Amino acid sequence: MDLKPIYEFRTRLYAVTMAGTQLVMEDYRFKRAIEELQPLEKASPVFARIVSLGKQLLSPDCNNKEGILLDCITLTDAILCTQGAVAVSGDLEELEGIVEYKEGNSMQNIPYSILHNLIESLTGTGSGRYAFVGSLHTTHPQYFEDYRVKRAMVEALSDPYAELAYTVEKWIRKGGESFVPFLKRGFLQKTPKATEKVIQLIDELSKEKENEFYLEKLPYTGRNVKGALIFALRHSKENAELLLHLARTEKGETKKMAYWALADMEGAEVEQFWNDFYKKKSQAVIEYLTYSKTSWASAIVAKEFNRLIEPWIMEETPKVLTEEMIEKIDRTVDALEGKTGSEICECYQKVMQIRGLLAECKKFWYARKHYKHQITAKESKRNLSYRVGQILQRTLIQCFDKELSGLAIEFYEKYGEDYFSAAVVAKLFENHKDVLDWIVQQRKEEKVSKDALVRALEWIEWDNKQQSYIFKLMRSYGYRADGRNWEIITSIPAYLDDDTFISYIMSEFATKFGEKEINYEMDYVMSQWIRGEDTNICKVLEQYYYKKALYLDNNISYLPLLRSCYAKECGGLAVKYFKGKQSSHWEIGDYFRDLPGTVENKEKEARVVYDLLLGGDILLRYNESKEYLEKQKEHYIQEWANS
Amino acid sequence: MQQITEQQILALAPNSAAASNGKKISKSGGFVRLACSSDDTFYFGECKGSGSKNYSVSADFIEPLTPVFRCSCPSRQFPCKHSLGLLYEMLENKTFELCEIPSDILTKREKKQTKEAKKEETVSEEKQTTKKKTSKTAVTKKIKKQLEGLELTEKLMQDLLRAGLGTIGGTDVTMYRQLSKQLGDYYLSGPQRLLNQLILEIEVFQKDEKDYHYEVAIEILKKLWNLTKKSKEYLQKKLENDQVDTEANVLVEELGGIWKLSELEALGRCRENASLVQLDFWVTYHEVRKEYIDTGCWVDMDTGEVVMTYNYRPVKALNFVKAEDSIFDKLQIPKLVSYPGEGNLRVRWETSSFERITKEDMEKIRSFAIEDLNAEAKVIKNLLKNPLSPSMWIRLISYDMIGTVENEFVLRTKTGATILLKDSKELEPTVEHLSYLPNRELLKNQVLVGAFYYEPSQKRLQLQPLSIISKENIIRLLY
Repeated sequence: MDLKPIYEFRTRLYAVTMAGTQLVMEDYRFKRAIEELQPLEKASPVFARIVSLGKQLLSPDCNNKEGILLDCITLTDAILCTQGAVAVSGDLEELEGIVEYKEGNSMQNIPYSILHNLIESLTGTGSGRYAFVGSLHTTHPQYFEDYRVKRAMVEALSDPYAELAYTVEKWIRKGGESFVPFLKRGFLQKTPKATEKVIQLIDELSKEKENEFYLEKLPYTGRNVKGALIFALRHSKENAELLLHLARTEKGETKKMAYWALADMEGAEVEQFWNDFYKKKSQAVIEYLTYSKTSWASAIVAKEFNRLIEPWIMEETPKVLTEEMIEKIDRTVDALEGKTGSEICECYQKVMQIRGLLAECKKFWYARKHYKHQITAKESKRNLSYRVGQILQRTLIQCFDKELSGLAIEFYEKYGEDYFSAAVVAKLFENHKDVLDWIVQQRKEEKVSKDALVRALEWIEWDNKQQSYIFKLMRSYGYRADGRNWEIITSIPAYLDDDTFISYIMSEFATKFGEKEINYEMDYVMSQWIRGEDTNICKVLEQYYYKKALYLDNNISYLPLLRSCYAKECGGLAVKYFKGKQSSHWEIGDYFRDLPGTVENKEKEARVVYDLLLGGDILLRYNESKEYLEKQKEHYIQEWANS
Repeated sequence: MQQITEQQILALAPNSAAASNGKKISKSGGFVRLACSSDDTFYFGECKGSGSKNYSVSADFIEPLTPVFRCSCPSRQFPCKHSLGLLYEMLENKTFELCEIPSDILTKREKKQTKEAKKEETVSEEKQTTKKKTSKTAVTKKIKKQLEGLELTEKLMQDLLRAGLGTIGGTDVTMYRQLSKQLGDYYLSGPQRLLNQLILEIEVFQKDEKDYHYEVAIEILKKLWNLTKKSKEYLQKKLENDQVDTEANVLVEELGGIWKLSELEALGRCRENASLVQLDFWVTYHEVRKEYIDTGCWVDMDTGEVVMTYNYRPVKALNFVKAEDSIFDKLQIPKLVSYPGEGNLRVRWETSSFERITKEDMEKIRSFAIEDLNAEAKVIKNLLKNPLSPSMWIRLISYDMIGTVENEFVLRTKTGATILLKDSKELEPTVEHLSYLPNRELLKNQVLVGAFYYEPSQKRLQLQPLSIISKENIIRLLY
């Protein structure tokens, strides 16, 4: 049946409702709509009824036009509802973008009262959201595996409250590949920066698996986003031609991104491109190849290194270093990271030959633009030799090489503790069973300081997923200026299956060094080694951290460490921190939120702190009457104890 | 030991914060003494609190479905966090020493029993004596008043349509608002709400000038007109027949009447030993009513019907009305009362107990699903075309596959019938969630809980997905 006249009639009825029934008799389009309906009159009594009602509306004698109009609308709508289509024509296709999630993705039974607040907190605005989301993540981490929450988490990446966006980004990174479908669907964020973040996360989590996605989105995005997409193309060899084309045709930042991507790719064409480029702009090439681990990059870096260093070794020029030359050498030394082979080993040897001369580099090293943080006294003492040692260590962790491994041990024996960290990695990879004895020996002979020991072990941490100790290196790409976009570049299981090694280091630090000796760096590193259920190590560390925290006036940095070993005791910590100081309820509450321990112990501590407050041993910044403080005592104590 | 589940505790809690605080107290060892009576009806705990003395907390299970909680703390919340903490102690199967039931509790039990017996007596007396009295006087008077009000509403609609909706100005809106207020004097809160909704749509249109509001306004007018017409007929008939007893007619509630459980029971709308499983849950805010509506969508495990619960929480009384929450267990209900109406009937109950949902339950729920979409669509359209029917009908539908046709989500049944999956304007969006489901298998050979509705702009019957029932789980797309 042709329903067009009915739809037209309905439109006219709505128009009458808007214009008023007093004008209906002058509405010629309404009249025409009725005329067009008339052929249907015989088809069904309902149509006949509609036509009759319509005609009544046009009759000057009709007294209840409004009622008839509404009856007419009711009847027409009822017909249209019964005639409404149901079936959808076309072939049904499977949903795109759905992947099998093997783990980490589920539907959790989360009550409305929590789920709604959580989604609102992740996607809405207003204060208090960060605290709610954070505490829920601590108490119910499984909720964050729910597919509805994951979707909201992706939306939170563009939250104007940067702290929340950053925290969620960390959780997504930790959540792994199961987030990728959500990231793909939530690709278009509220800001280009957040969209860029989404691509970076897909890039990190899925690598070449999402190559089609990068290619599909490439033509439709803005500059920043396009840059991130171009960089993500580096994972697939098939993109080499496209990237070479982009490196030639793109301009500005996107061109640079094509270079960064090509720096990570293998293949004869790419190698040729970089060799040609090197002939034109050698130092620019070295900068792009800083983090490259490709087979051809070592040769180019070695070539540049020799070009710069050889005149000095041959003593053809006077031994005066210009600032420009130092910059160049400095950049090339940086680029040694991740490079292997005999040519690179020779470079390290050559560095050592002129290390006296290059010692000056330290003046410039810390001033370089990518070291933005304030230099500590300890850092300012670190020289080129220290830096080469670190580069060697990082290279061995990323791509273990026999020759470089031997070189690390040789350098340690020849040049001392600057190469200790590299030597430890070499030993760990080559002959792990002797490492512990060897380290003990070095320590006994006082060849290495505690600082050197910290540096050697700082990249080791316990991985819950793999249930083993791993090396975890972090680095930032040169193009990322925000300092936050760190990427995990390697995750090699260290040969630390039995915990003898870790236990030794812990006992070495936790028992042999007194609590008065401050070495927060090592204490922090040890907290990264704690395995959830390892109660013995936890007990040792809890006592050790607790003693230290009790000794320190400013013990706030030790609270997370105590929490990491599930500490139950907290007596005296808050008293030590607040006694004799000026403070506020807010600060005390904040401290108690971080304070580990059972509710009972925290309550005890809170009572002591409150008594100090009442006795004037802790001064409040905002004067509050004693009466008020007395009145609020239990309220605050309970709040602090239960926080 | 009384069997208790976390769901039960959450359901008893006045809000989620109270439940989580109760849990904290229990976890942190807040209870210094636990005891229970030998007949397992009385539980007692001594709990550390902020005061100098410990709080005495007790739970009386003399009526297991409606336990009575008592606590010496000054909290106004009921049950307080300490009482909930005691329940968590029971959940954790902590050791309770044996104790005698205190004499004051026994006295209170007696008092309660006497009070209840008295109440029952009074109710039955009232039923016998005052019923007729009320019928003759107040009810007739009320019906006459309602008829007067309906005349007024009709006149108002006539005025509105004579001038045309498009010509209404700011002064008219104020006048209509005043007239709407008057309807309150005629026991017509239902039509009054519709009129307020109509005025609101016109006001919003005057601000944002979106034609959509007029479409909604006409829909409201249509409903109001039909309600007025049918109610007039119904009330006049009642007057003529001198019939003053309450009938199970949907118009009673539409006009603004509120059903008492006892009334519905008397009308035979009560079933014993029912069991319900919640399929989804959501909360909406009704701008005109100024109320939050907690909506539960359930399947009746005996009949397979999808039924609804509505908990109205006026904004002004948010602190005093307990909010409902999602429930993930099966409810055993001694007395289930249903409201008159069509489509998904509204149900209510006073007491219930919780049980875990078994695999057999899941199988049973799946067996209730409709297979023949085309035949069912006819029935659904017939219901939806009535302006006084609900605008959505939630059903269980078995499907062969959910996929896309030209980027639109479509459901296909085993017989090959298809229907468009689209979000309605009345609920939060859910269709997009189908792309994120935890398992691809959920898109094939499962059962969908969906709300059928007619979308005039698309000229088609559409379906908004609410949950997916797999063999093991209910995957909720809302809450």
